[in-house]
Amino acid sequence: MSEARKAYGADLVIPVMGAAFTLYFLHTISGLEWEAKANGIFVGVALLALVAIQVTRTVIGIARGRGDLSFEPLLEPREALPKRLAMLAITIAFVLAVPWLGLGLGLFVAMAAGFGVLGVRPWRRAIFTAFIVAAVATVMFNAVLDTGLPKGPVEKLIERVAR
Amino acid sequence: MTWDLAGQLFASQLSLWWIIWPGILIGIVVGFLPGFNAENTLIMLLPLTLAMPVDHAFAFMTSLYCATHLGGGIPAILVRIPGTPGAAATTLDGYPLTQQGRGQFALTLSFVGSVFSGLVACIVTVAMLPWLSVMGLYLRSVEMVVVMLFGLTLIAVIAAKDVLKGLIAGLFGLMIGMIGADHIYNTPRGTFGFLELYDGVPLVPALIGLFAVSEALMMVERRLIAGAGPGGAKQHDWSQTFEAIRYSATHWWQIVWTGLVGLVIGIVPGAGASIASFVAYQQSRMWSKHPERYGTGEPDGVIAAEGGNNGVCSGTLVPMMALGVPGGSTAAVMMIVLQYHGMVMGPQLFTDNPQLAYGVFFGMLLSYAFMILTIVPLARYMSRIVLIETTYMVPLIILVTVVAAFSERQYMFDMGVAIVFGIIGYIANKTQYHVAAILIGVILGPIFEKYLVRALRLSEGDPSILFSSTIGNVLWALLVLSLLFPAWRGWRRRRKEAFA
Repeated sequence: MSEARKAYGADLVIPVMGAAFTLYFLHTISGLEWEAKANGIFVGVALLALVAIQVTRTVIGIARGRGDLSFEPLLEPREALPKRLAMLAITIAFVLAVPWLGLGLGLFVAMAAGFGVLGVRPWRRAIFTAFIVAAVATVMFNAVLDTGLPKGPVEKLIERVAR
Repeated sequence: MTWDLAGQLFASQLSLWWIIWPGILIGIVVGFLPGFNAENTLIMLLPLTLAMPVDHAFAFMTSLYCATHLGGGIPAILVRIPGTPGAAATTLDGYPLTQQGRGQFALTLSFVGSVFSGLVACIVTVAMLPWLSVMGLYLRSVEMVVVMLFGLTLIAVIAAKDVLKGLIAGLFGLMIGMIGADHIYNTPRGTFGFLELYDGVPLVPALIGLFAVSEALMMVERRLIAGAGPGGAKQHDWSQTFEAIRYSATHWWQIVWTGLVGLVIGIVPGAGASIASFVAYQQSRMWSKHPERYGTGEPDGVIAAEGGNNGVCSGTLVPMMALGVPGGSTAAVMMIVLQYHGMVMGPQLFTDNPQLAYGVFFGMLLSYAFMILTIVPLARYMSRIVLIETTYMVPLIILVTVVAAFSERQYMFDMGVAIVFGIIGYIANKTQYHVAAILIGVILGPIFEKYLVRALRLSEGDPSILFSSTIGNVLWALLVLSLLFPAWRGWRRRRKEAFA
């Protein structure tokens, strides 16, 4: 793709998300009293109008050959994409697993996996760093700040030993 | 207030140094951590502050509160993660400076700007307390709608490279900010059926997602945060610290007036540091000779954002002490402690107990003095964080901040919210839809709606009420002026260039 050509597809993702959410929001307020929907209609209509302008700009740009509907900016650089997606997957898995594993063990596993995926070598160093981070975070969030994060086998074991 | 009393208050507050210093240190750490703020820390420390004598408790609380505002700027500059919402504007120029290898310079600017704007706001507060205290009474829902719209206009100005994208991002943020039950009938709107969203979109997970998670996902493609700037990321000496101190000294006026902007906005109940910092940033950019440099690492941008952010501290306390109306949630927690000790807030506080009423602001002055001595020497060492390779930084930032997203409301759901906003933020960053514009929208959405609906209910749905007050109309005129002025300057500059 030449430097001058624009990736209009990527440029449309946020407007499309905004428009889709606005339509959903307007649907949820359709039967409500005017006080509950005045602001939504005011802002929603303005957003839809701006999205329409952006779409028109896109159509004109494509028609004049200034760009295409590609999503390239979101995927570039290609070599970083697998790492990025893997990191996102690890984070989602971490959030889903924390209620069972607890903060300490969950963070240790996710952190070690993250370091591994991003290329921290040797593995011993990745695991050691993950252990330190997980230990510090557990002490800070659970013991010092008492944030009420889920307790897993490690936290329960420490509590039992402390008693 | 006499000079004798001022001397006595200064001496008595100085004797509390041993309680002010821990407050500062805790405040800086709390401000640094996304998800924690002065309010929830003070709540956690209530058993401690309730047990202290009232002047000790107040000195501790105010020093901690001021320090959180300063601490929030540190991660905003180094890794583009605002520690508090008030530091979001600091990312705009602070982080580009870090990327240019000038993290030490940006940090010192932020510290000096924060401390001196806080000092200025504090001194002005002490001098003008009787007048400032009644200011909040003149701002009713109609004027507040215009104040909020003033904040919203920043969306277009901040995203000046492409105003359309900036407006779309800002209005998208406003729509997201409207999620939750409405203020009158409590009916849920746009919640996707999630009970956790009935109170609205939680701000801390939104901030963490838009800034921390999205930025970490961007970092994957780089080996280091800092590039090879003029100073170089690996600079080991103090030169950037001294350069920033010199720069701040020659731009003292910038510090003074942005601090005053923060003070005035701080007095307005509900407005807060996030609006103050963006307003100060936008005003600084509007009056600058080089507005095009803002957003690319302009030092004045860092000073303005931090000036507005820290000027708020004194302002928040004014309505609480003078009227008994807390200017924000942190002030409300402080008020609980004072009431526990039998203090009655209001005008009589200044006649019955001037030592406490004015002493608070002298305590703040000392806190700022201690703060600058503590933090400036550390800028050189803090800036080294950017030398850690992103292979370590990315998992650390994503996973630890996602955990921090839990802390505000203690819902596992909020961790998911942070991830969703992280994805939105990543797409926005890659396609030049400003994440700060989305954040402003999310912050202002519920506040704007509250005041708009209140004003419209007063007029039984007649929108002309928005133009019914003199102060409101003056604010409208200022709003239009701040929209038109940059456009007029841009037109003049283009014309000059065309003739050159």
